[in-house]
Parts: sequence; C-alpha cells; structure tokens
Amino acid sequence: MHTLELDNVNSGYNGKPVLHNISFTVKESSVYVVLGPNGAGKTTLFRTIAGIIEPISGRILLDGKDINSSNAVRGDINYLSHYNALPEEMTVYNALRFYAGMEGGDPEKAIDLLGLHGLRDKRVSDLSQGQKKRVSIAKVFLKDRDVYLLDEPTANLDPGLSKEIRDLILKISKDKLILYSSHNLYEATDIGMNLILIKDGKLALFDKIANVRSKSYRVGIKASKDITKIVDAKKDSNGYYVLNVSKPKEAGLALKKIVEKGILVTEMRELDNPLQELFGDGGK
Amino acid sequence: MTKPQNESKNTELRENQVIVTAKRALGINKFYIAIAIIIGFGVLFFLNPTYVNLSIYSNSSNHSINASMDMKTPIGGNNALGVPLLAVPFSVLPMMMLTTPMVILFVYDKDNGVLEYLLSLGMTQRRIYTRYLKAALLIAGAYLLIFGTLNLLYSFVQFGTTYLSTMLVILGIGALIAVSTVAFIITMMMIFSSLQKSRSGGNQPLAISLGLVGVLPGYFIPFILSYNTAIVVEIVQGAIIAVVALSLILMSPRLINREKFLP
Repeated sequence: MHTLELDNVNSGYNGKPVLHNISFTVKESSVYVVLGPNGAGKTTLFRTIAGIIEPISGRILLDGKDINSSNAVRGDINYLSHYNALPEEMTVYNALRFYAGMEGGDPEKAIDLLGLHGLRDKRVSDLSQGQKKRVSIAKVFLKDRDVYLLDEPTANLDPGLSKEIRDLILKISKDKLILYSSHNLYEATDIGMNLILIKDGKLALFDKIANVRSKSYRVGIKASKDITKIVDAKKDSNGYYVLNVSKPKEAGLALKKIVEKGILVTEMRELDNPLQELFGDGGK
Repeated sequence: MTKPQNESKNTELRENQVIVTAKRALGINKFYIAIAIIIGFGVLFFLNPTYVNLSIYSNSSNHSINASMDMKTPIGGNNALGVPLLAVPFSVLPMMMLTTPMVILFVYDKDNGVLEYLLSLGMTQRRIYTRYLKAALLIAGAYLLIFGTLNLLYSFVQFGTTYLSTMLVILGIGALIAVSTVAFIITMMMIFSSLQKSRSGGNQPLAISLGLVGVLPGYFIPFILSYNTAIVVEIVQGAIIAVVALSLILMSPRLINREKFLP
C-alpha cells in the first residue's frame, strides 16, 4: 500500500499560483476521480504531482519521501497527459520501444495490455485520434508503477473503447493509486470510488463518491399515458415526464401512484448526475 | 524470460538513444541535409583548394608565384598570412545547416508533449537539452568524418602530399569551431524555443545569426594575422564558443523553468 500526501501545495506557472493550499492524503489503493470544470487546475495538479512543475510552496510526499527530492521517487509515478507525446514518424512498436529505452518496461507487454497488435507496425501519424490515445495509454503502462496520474484518458475515445479503458484501469487499480481526471460527471461515477473536487484551484471536496448526495433529483419517466394529472410533472422535449423530488423515496411514491392508475411505465431514470451540482456553488 | 535475457533486452532498448534522436531529426526534414551536402561539396571542390592555393600569393616574403605553380611549396612560416584558414568558416557552414532539423525536432517534441513526458520521467532541463545536443553533435561528427576524409582524399589526388598538413590544420580547426558552433546554436535555439510562449518561428534565424557572429572572425583573422598566430586565435575562438555553449547547458535548470518545456 502506498501513501500520496499533498501538504499545503501552491503551484502554477511562471510564479503565478493556479493551485492554492491543496492538502489531501490518499492511502487506499483505488481510483480517485479528480473532478472539476475546465480551467479548475486539474492538469496543474497532475503536473505538480508528476514533478513536471515544481510547487511554489508545500510538499508532495510519496510514502513519506518528497517527490522532488529524487528521480527514484518520481520514477514510481507515471503521468498520462492530454498530449499523446508520441513520435509521429515512428511505428507504434518503435514509439513504445523509444520510451522503453528511456524508462524501461516491455513494449510487447504494453501492446498486449491495450490490444494494439493490429496497429503494431502502423506509423503513429497514420492512426486516428482514438488509436493514438490508446498507444499513448500503452506508453504509460510500459512499466509497472505505484501511482498513475491519468489526465482525461478517455478524451477522444468512442464510448465502447472508453469503457474498455475504464475497465482496464479499474483492474489495475486493485494495488495502485490512480488519480483520474475528468470533467465528465457520468464517467466519474462509473469509474471512481473517491472524489477530489477542484474548483478555482482549490480543493473543494475530498470524499467517497457514494457520500455525495444531491439536494434535489430530476426524475424522467416515460409512460403509456399522460401522467401530469397524477403527479406534479412536466413533459420535456425528449418525451420524459420530468418530476422534481427532494428524496429518492418521493420518486418511488410517485411511481406507485402512476402504476395504481393502470398506466404502463416504460422507463424511469435520474436525469441529472448527483455530482452535477458540485460544479455549481454546491461544492463550495 | 530469464534475468540475463531481460537485462540484455533492456540494454538493447536503452542503447542508441542519441542515435535514435539523430535519426529522427534527419528523417523529419531532409531539405537542410541536402543543402548541407551541396555546400559541403562546394567547399570540397572549390573553396578549400582555392584558399590553400591563395596562400601562396599572400606570402610575400617566403614564397613566389612561381613556387605556387609547382604546388610543392610548403605553407606557413612566421610571415605568411593565414589565408588558408579562410576555408575554416566555410567548412563550418554545412554543419550549421545540419543543426536546423534538430531544432525542428525539439520544437516538434515540445509541441507534441514529448518534452513534458520526459520531464515526468524525472529528466532535468539539462538532461533534455543534452540529449538533443549530443544527437546534433553526432550528426556534425558524422559529417566531419565523411567530408573530412573526402577533403583529404581530394587534396591528395589533386596536389599529392603538398597541402595535406595544411588541410589537416584546416580540418582540425574547422572541426573544433564547427562542434562548438553547433553546440552553441543548438543550445541557443532550444533556449529560444523554450522561452517562446507561442510559436513565432524566429528562433532558428536568430540562433543561426548568433552562430554566424561566432564564426565571423574566421573571415577576417586570416587576412590580418600570420598563419601561426591565426591558428592559435581560431583555436581560442572555438574554445570560447564551446565554453559559452557548455555554460548555457550547465546553467539551463536555473535559466529555464521546467514549465517552459510544456506544450
């Protein structure tokens, strides 16, 4: 088990802080979703933890050792950037070999892990954006690390592949610390157990996702007949009767009323993600 | 797989990083390589023999025009001007051209996030600069080896052994100034590229201009100093450029913040 501790970290670019007094400790091997709107400071946080930029003040400790104190400590952390960072003129295998030459690891293992056999001898420049992303992810898993910082790893990927990548990350996360950034609320609830919310460069929330409760719920119901006279709902442009409730239990009671009137309910779902309001003032 | 096999595989993967970088640079833009080769042959066939022969005319006390005709008069002597050394700055030009693909590669790697990834692997600014610098010097070294040998062969075929010692001096000083100038230009261009907030494209001409300033004395020294003095001055000139380049590399972690390497 590893411990990553951020102690009052201020960090940014050219001496101007983007992150302000960030402190948290992650101990449990798991996926920690770093959530926040665009420009909140997620990438700066990752770059600081990865040792790419030095914090203006504060310390980042991995198992009690300052990550900026030695390359050996930084060597336990790997970072997936927004940028693919692949030499485009090389084949997929040679690009992975290029990095394996620097950091160690086995290109074949990474090809197996990400299922890149079909792309192995293709030039990186000939790949689609999604394929490049997969190769870029493979590069991060060339060598076994303790901590992975994955900055929006499923950006540019189709939903099926995004799911595959998330499943892979979940599998790996059993004995690793994985910080996974996203501004996609549904993705966050799909992959993460823990939430690190960054807003305006500050830590707005650090908690289990399961503990995040919504103040109100918008429930969408598709029914065989008009239900607006039975419950307080309005029909939206997607064909849902939208019901606003303050507790999940109220939605159940509404459903019971509708069914008792002999109306067939074909679908019932929560229309908003419970994390949504964290993006507003609720997370402060 | 056994441990020794693993180690051998790792060694195979780890070696040749400088060669890989050099190959990448040469593959990324062939225009500058073609120009360098054309200039190289120009220097080989026209400039070197011309300047070596011109030295006879510049030497008023020790040699005569007639002596130059039989191609057997040794060059040098305390009173002889250093005209043959005029070939040195011209010999350096192709290698200055060869620095451009390396800088294009550096800028490309910066924009593509490769430098950011290298930083995340724990590399320092100095290590990253040194990586590209070594590859640039490898290309320059390969060029020097090929064209240096061709120069000597051409001189031998044309003039026998008469000018071989002069050619060796020209090539030796040329190599020193070329290597130091390449190091200086590459370092300056990488620093300019790192400091640019957005791509303005001005770093290459600027650094090459600075490199030319370093080479410029080579066009005057042969006309104002004696051959032997000119050799010493040009060696000092090459050493100064090398020291400046080396100092910039050593100071790079202080001069250039890590965030300057980010896309």
